[in-house]
Amino acid sequence: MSKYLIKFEKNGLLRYISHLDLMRLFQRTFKRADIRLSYSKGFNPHPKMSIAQPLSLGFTGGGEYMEFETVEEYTAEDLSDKLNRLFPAGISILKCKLLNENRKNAAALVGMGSYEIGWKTKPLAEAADVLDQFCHLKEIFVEKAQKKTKMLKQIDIQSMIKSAEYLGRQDNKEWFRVFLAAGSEANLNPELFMKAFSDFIERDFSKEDLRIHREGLYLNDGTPLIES
Amino acid sequence: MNYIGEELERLLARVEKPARYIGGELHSVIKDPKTVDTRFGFVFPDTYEIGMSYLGMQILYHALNAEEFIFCERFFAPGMDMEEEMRKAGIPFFSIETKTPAKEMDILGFTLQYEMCYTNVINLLDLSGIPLRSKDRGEGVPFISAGGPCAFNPEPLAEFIDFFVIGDGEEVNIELCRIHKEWKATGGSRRAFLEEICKLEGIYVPAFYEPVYGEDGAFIRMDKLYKAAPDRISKRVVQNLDTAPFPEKPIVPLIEVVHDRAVVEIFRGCTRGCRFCQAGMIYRPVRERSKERIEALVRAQLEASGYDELSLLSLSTSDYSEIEPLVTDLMITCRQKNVALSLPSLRLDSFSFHVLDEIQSYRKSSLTFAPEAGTQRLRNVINKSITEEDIYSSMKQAIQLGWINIKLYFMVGLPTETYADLDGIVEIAKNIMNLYYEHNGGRKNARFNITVSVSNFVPKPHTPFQWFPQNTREQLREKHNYLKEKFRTVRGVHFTYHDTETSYIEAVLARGDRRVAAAILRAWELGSKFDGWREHFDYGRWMQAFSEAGLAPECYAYAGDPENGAVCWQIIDSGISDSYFRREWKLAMEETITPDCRKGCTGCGINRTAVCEREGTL
Repeated sequence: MSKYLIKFEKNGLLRYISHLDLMRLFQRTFKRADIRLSYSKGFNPHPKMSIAQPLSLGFTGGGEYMEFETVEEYTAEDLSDKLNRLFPAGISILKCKLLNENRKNAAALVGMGSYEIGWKTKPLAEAADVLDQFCHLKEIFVEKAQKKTKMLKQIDIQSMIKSAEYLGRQDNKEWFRVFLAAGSEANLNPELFMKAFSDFIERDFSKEDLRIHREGLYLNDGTPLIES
Repeated sequence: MNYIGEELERLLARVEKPARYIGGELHSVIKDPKTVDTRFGFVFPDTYEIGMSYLGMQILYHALNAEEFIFCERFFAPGMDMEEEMRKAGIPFFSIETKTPAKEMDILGFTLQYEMCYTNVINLLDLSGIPLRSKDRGEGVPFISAGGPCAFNPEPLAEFIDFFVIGDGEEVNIELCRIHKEWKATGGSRRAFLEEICKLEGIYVPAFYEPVYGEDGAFIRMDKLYKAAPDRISKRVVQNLDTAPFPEKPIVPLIEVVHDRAVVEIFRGCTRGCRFCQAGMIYRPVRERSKERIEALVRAQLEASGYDELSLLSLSTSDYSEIEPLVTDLMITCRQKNVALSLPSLRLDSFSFHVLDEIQSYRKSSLTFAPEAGTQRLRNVINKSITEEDIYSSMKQAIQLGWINIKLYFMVGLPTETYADLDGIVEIAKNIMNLYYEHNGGRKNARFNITVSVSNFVPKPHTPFQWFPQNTREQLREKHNYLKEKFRTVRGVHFTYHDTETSYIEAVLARGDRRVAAAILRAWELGSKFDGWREHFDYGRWMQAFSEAGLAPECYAYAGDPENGAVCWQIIDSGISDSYFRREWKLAMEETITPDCRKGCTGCGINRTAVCEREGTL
């Protein structure tokens, strides 16, 4: 049994498929490539593969990660070649690494994500300064719908913003790069970040005006999941 | 190139399940429209998830696109939310492949799988900006066609459809595209094209016929308005399934659909002759695909798709002549590839149990069994050849093998049904429950459960019961209540039944004539669509529509006379003779069984026009 970690991108139209759809797409691609995954034991066996951190529907991703175990051992290169030949447009493996069996799983290692956000809105005056002021607020409360009850609740997202940078204006959009908490311990959705920011500058905001690209996932100290 | 403009992208950000609309699936086909002669839009008038589970679409898509001169694209009804956004933004009904407006297709082909989709057909024509009525369509507008089982009574949609395709579509759709290509090159009129294709076997152009009604309003006959049109339209039959096109590389959806699996059709048709079953009549004769071809298709599909489930398709899996060797082989293939095998419509004999026990050894899903009627008498009437003995011996085996969820399907409102037959339904469930208690040493715990599901009989065209008046809604409701009351005291049985209102409208649409079009149109105008969806169906709207259209729906659902009933779907020749239907009706009234035609020809008439390979082979 061999364990691998891959870094892949999810681009183009495939941003409209959900996390579960993506999992099924991977499973089918493994089957087509005749790469046998190891299965869990028990009454309901499922292939051993997991995505480090699900990407929201509609976002593109340039540095997504997935772990899996195969029955036979392959070289990292062979594995990416086999799969890349079969993926639909929008998915491709950028890096592949054979893992030490004892390594902590990727999902547990993820601490933050970096996002490039384009906001289709009228030009922002002194955007960089305003963003800076916003990030240095003591507390940043924003309304968030609770998962189960759908009730709105005020939460403070200040500690989940690692850094934020204004990139400029292009294609009628204001562009930002932000590093936000991601993972099982704390997770901040960039849409919620933008909601809080638009509240701060008192500007109307609609999710459809956002274009979000997750560039990568990192450990808490900022190192990438696969070192280059 | 993904063909999605910025406008559409904004909508996708707003709607549920945006991937329904994006295309780009594995094995979907993109051609350069400039290089083809005929653009064919295949329309499934329901959502993507339902349409993509329909094998017929995969077959025709594959067959049409195999021809270089044709580009076939798929269209599905957008969800309610998406439709609203599209209408607001002025985006017309578009194809999945290239997002081309439906209006730019040469031919749009609707598949009619159930009557309750008729308002969706109208709605989608409207969303396309295509005139709803055939007579209002000028040159340059796509030809609107429709096929599928409901096309065997084309009359309710006759005003909206330019031509119907009756029977197997693999060959005739390509033939008519070829005619289209020539017609387009010579620049003929719309009428000229229709005159040309009506010569093809299996094509019905309703504008070439006019129904004649008597003073009492009853349908009398069909008059021809165009001399060269055929007197009756014979359905198309593809005789050899081994040489017929079948997808080796099915389109694999990117999102989860209803049936997300590889599917191979093992045979078409059925020899059993259940008198209520339209599919069992209109898909005659039985034509089998060879075991070798099936296995080759299975391998190809699994390899090309990466699916982890395989299903065999037919009307009655166990009746395949080489079922045991086939399933034995497939079990090995599937085990090697970690693929789950699913075998719908199995007869529960000992071989099936052996197979089910093997393929579901981990977790047993529920076991489904369809006696259809509660007593032997009534099963004789409907010609469902299951005996009490069959039911209880198979249930005993099921219990011994560890099944704890049993689903039983019955119909109510069948011809000659009495309350004794309903008691029979309750008896069967009780007896199965007792079999379990016996097996369990008399202990009555709640682990074992039976779901009894009752649907309302809807008489369908081209069956021996086509003249039978449907039970009234009141009758059906009383029967439901009776059963509900009886089952209240039976432990471990869960009783469910279908909505009577939907069954009533379904009966009207199934046997409706050309005049019913006015009510369908009005129902749509009042807001009806997705009528097959419980949450969207509105009975009041339909009643209003009938009354405003000046039609009495009860005349369609509740009237019928096997002695002298002329029926408007007679224009369609299903290959089964009228005298067979009448004889079968008489035998039903005498509670007499007609044997499976594998035991010897029962004279349905299909062998006048097609070869019955399975006749007399048992």
